Order: sequence, then C-alpha cells, then structure tokens
Amino acid sequence: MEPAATSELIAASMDTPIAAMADFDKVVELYWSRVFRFVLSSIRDRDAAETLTQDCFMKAYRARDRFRGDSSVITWLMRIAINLVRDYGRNRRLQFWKWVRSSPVDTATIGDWIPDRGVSPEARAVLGNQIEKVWQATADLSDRQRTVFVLRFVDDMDLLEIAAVTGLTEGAVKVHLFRALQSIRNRIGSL
Amino acid sequence: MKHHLSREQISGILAGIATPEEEQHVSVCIECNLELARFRETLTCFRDSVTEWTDREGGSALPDAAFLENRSFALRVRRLRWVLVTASLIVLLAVPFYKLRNDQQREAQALQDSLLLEEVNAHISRTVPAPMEPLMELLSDVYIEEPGGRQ
Repeated sequence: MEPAATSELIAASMDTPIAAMADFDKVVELYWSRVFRFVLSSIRDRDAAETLTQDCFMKAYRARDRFRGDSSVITWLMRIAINLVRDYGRNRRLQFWKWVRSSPVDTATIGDWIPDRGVSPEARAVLGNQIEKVWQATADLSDRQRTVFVLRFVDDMDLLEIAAVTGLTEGAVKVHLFRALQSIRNRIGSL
Repeated sequence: MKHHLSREQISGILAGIATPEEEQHVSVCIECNLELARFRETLTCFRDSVTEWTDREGGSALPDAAFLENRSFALRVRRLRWVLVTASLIVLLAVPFYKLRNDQQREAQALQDSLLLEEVNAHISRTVPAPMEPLMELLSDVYIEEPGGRQ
C-alpha cells in the first residue's frame, strides 16, 4: 500500500506525534493520500473528496496547537475525516441540489484497476467481476458498517485502531465488520 | 466440528469473532481454509484496486504546499463576507425600527409643541391680567344673578 520509505516515516512520526505536528507540511505529505483514499472510497465523488480532504487537513492545521499527542497523528486525522464524511452524508441527504450538481466518478470500472499479478485474462475477468460486486455491496452498507469495512480492508487498520478512530468499542467494531462482511460475501456468491 | 464452515462463519473469522472451534476447524480443513483464503484474496484485490483507482483520481498527488495558507486566506475572505452579509442584514432590519422610533419621537414632540402653543394662546388671549381674573368671575356672577341690573 504505502511505499516502504513512507511507511517508515509514518511509523517514526507515530512514535512522537507532537513532534510530527511541528512540521505540518510533513504531516500533509505523509497522510494526504491515506485520508484522501478513505474519503473517496466512502463518498465516491472525486471533487467532494478533494474538498473534504482539504477541510480535514485545514481543521487539523487550525487545531494543531490543541493536539496533545494522546493518539497518533493518523488516528487524529482519520477521526476528523470520519466526522466530515458523516456530515457530508447528512448534508447530501438534505440538499438534493448537491446531488444534482455533483459529478460522481464512474465506479462501475473499479474492477478494471486490478494490479497486474500475472494472472490469466480469464482469472482477471472473474476477479474483476467479484471486485465490482464488493464495491456495489459496500455502497449498500450502513454508514458505520462502510466506515469500519473501508478502514479495515482498504486502509488496513487493525481493530483497535478502528475502535480509536470511530469511538466504538472493539466489540462493536467486530460486530459492524461481521455484518459488512456477511452482506458482501452474500453479494459475491460462490468464490 | 464435522461440517464445513458456513459463509457466515467464514465472515466471522475475518471479523475476529470466530469461536475457538471454528478457528481450529479452519486450520485443519483444507476446503474451509481454501474458502477463507479465496475470500481474503478477493478483499486484498479489492483493496489494491481501490488504491490504484484513488491514486489515479489524485490521491497520490500532493496538494500545493501553499494550500493551507491559501485556504486560510479563502476562509478569512469567506468569513469576512459572512460578517458583511450579517452586518447588512442587521442594518436592513434596524432601519425600520429606527425610523419607527424616530416617527414616534417626532409625534410626541409635536403633541408637546401644540400643547405649549395652546397654553401660550390661552395666555395671550386673556382680557385682564391674571390676578384680576377672580374679580372678573365675581362680576360676571353678579350680572347673571341680577338680570335687570346694569349691563
């Protein structure tokens, strides 16, 4: 997912979160793509995802003096991002014109983005079809289930990290994840 | 455990809520292990596809370093715009109230002026000085009591 050098930098900054906040340009450099990936996977609208990611870093930037380092920088950023995505979802439901104006990306082609693993074209087509189904099933999940699923299986967070960023207990995270996986598994059918 | 794991139980293993028996079963049953591995593989491919797609959509492109300053400036401008709009609204709402209050004050002043004017008129239209007024009243009473008297 992350290049090795970036991962090391992330790990290093997570050890000293307050020190990491001192150089905010570095924070943007390290975490921008992760936050953007989470937001875009959640709302599936590139323009809105870019705006929300900027808002996320803007909020973090303005509140950086209040950051006490109780959690890692990425946990803190993800918490802000989750709130922004949730608020965006609420506003979107309320404001129909936003939906009309938005330019959602063509998510029907997500299966075309399978990295080349040297598999046969037939196997690739089957895999692409399954990924499409996962993508569609993810859209039908509840907001909380989708958030937990994306954090676990797109952002690769462990259960405790997910609990920290969502404010849920570890048990609740497992339950939401289980329900999400069940829906997705049923949508895929036989593997 | 004699039977193979259901889809639900496979999902439970991935979600971390599997029972020890289910964990034990999946470690010895080739078929269930394969089923779990296939589901894992699908999810891994899903993650890789989403990562590729989000990177293509601009996730790997870092914003301009000055975006925070620009955003700060834009936010300040937006806030200033809101302040101006709010101030304009307050002025627009306050003007009728101010006008109404002014009109009421003017009316009260006009009433006071007219009362004062009436007093002045009454004062200057007296036929005799004020100390003589009781006497004049007495005289008029005498004339009324003696109609045959001198007018």
